[in-house]
Amino acid sequence: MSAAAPAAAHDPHRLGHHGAGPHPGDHGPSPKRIIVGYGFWIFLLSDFVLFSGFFAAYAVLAGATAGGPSGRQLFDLHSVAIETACLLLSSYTCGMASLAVAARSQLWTQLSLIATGLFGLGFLGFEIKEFVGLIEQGDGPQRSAFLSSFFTLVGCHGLHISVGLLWLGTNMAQIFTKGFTGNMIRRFMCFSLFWHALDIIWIAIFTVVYLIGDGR
Amino acid sequence: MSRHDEVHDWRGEVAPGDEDGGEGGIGSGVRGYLIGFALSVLLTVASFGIVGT
Repeated sequence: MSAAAPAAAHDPHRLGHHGAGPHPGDHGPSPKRIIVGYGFWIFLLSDFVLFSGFFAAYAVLAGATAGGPSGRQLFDLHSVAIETACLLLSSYTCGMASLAVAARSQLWTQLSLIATGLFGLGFLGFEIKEFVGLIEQGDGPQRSAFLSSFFTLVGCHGLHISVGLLWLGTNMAQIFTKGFTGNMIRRFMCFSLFWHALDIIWIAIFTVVYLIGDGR
Repeated sequence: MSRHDEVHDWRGEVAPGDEDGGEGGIGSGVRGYLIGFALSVLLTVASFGIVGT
């Protein structure tokens, strides 16, 4: 038995720096793909912190209707169900685009991203329709603290979707013209993380705002 | 790509949320996304159903 065996028993993952042979961290900085992914996750977590503030504000102000309508009187769950379906489908097609990028298929990447964009646009269309309807009937953000927090939280998510759609279009054009270069693949990875994160936030919004709000 | 990427073998190291770390190819990836999509639809429909009752 070699002398390294007892050391391996005490430190099976070779976290200590006394054993023989290579171990993680020995070979310098990680590849760009890992560093970019890690950095983008830090951005996403900071975005979650932003949304947490808006969620907290909404939770506190949900009952402050100032004599105006509550969520139960305002929300149309059919429209919310369609919006949710659009986002779930767009997340799925974004996943298909990830697989197409991994396979370096230009055609399937573009088709999957077009589908992702169309579902995203569908979501945005329904959200804008809901906002315009509420404002037209006098239930805009200035009506009550409840509606202020509602428009802030849901509007912030909609704004993220709008920026995501612009990013999606840019990404498609860049992948089409420059091909699957390292830069393009890393940018797509960040977009994909961003888009899935927005889906997660929407799940929280439709649960906390619409489903719970409809039962109030 | 940096010089480090060329010199060292980076297999087994994946970025957070990286798709390339999975083994099994496209078929396995599509199956994974389909299962995830089906589960998300199921849970969403259940959530709306609970509110409706």
